[in-house]
Parts: sequence; structure tokens; C-alpha cells
Amino acid sequence: MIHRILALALKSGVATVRYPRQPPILTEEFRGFLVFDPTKCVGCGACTRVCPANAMNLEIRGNEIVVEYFAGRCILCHLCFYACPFGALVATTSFDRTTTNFEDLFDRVAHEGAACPSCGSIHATKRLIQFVDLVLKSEGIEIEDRLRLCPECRRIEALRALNAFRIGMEREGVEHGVE
Amino acid sequence: MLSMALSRRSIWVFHLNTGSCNGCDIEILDALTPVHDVERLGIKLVASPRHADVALLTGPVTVKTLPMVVRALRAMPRPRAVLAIGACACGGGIWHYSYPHLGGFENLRKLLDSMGIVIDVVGYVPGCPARPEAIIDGIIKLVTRKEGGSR
Repeated sequence: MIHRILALALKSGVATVRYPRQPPILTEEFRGFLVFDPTKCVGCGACTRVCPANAMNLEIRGNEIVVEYFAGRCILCHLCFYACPFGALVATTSFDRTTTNFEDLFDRVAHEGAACPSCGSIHATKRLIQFVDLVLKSEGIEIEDRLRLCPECRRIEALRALNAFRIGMEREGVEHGVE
Repeated sequence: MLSMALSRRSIWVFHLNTGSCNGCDIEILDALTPVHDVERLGIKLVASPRHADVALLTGPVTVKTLPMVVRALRAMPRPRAVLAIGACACGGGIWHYSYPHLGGFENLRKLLDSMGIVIDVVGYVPGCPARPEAIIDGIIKLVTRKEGGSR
């Protein structure tokens, strides 16, 4: 009996992976932690919208807009990697974010915020507005001043413009809906 | 002092589930199987917190498990070490905005501090679930932690 077991054991060999000395068994498809590239991030917040665990956060702190990756809450779904239009989040097969310091679990990027010229509130990063300018120029679209406003002020300005247009039409005696 | 005290002998770990989905618990069992075989590093699973050096804490610490978790951690001898395993134990995971739990070990630690239960070292192993290799890494980092490090 023992001979048969020994023969089987010798045939099957050693199953143990001596992990700290040997590399771990990982497939190429393994989804590991994300590496945050602060030079490529513009602070658009696309990652914060898709993150199911809210591990990606966009926060306004004073004059800065902080993009924060909290690895301790990340569920490794890589949705932010697919959502990022700038390739600022790099998908890796690394699982080593183990630490004894809680602050090590955070990756933060602080962007300079752009103030609204009307109300002065911080609504987007300067890098994002520069990027939008570039795209609009390459498309040949003229940049209106209204684009620089924050969403609240832009809404008010749009309504004001619409109202002025309506009043002008009424003065000329044009009725609504009738040519 | 603590790292010396722990690294000179085998590390006995106690598995403490605080309302986990069992994903991280399966990974802990995976680390105990012949493939990873943590007993070659002297890491042994024990049944009682009174015998344990390190508590392997999984889950977001639900309100239902809170009394048992506090009793288990109080029963551990000093120096107490806790390894928070998984996204839930590290930062609340996908549950962090919901109501019936404390949202990870950081909040439990504040509660334990107010009750006078000191946790000497805490290790964090993020991941959903954490890989068995990462758990081994975590225990090694916890034990060989340099003195004068954070907390």
C-alpha cells in the first residue's frame, strides 16, 4: 500500500510554489492594481463616474481639484482603465499594494482649478479646459465666452440670451410659432 | 521590539470573518493549501484568538458581528496584530456607503481605541479578493515591519 502511495507521490511531484522565492502563478489576463500616471491625467473625472466602488474620487479642495485613487477600496474591475481617454490609468498584473501604513493605499493628483469668470467658483481643472480648447480649435469651432463659465452660470447666461432674443422678436411683432 | 518578538517564533493566525462575502476567506484557505503551504513559513491557523499573534480580518465589520469581533480581539494577547484582508476590510469596499456596517477596519480601530483595546500593528492587504500571495506578503510585512514606522 505505502509503495503505491509513494510511487504516486513521486509521479505527481511537488505542488508547492515557494512564493517569495519563486514568481507567483499569474495569467496575462489577471486584473491587478492600477498605476496612476499624474503627468497624463487632466482631471476630467471619467474614471470617477464609472467606478462601481467609488475608489476613484474627484474632490474640490480650495483652489485645487484632487483626483484620488484609493487602492484599499478598488475591486480591480479595470472599468476606469477602459474609461480613461488619456491613458492616465495603466492596468497592471501587480497585486502588491500590501502595506502597514494606511496612507500608502492612496494615490493622489492635485490639479490647478479653473475659476468661473462670472462667479469665481472652481468647476474644472485648467488642464481640462486647455484640452477642450485644443479640440475645439482643431475642429474649427470658435470658442464662445460662455464656454468658460461654470455650468450654473452658463445655464443662467443661456437663459438670458434666449430671453433677449424672445423680447427682440416680440418687439418686431413676430408671434411664436407663426411665420 | 515587536517585530523581533514575532519573527523569532512561528506566527499563529486566527481567521476572523466580520461579514465577508467568503471570497477573501476562500483565499485564506487557498494560502493554507499545499500549493502555497504557509506552514513552511511557520504560519499556522489556530482555532482560538487566545492563541493567535495575528488576526486575519475579512469583511466590512457588520453591526451584527461587531460584539463578537470586539470580544475576539479583546481575547488576543498583546502584542496584537491585525491583517485587514480585502477591499471591504481596508476601505469598506463596494459597501462603504451603506448603513449596516462600520466600513472597514479603520473605523473599527477608532471604536476599539475608545474602548481601550489597543491594536499594536495593522497590515492592509487590498484586493477583491486579495490573492493568497498578497496575504503571505502581508503577514511577512507585518512581522518584519521596521521599528519607528507608522504607528
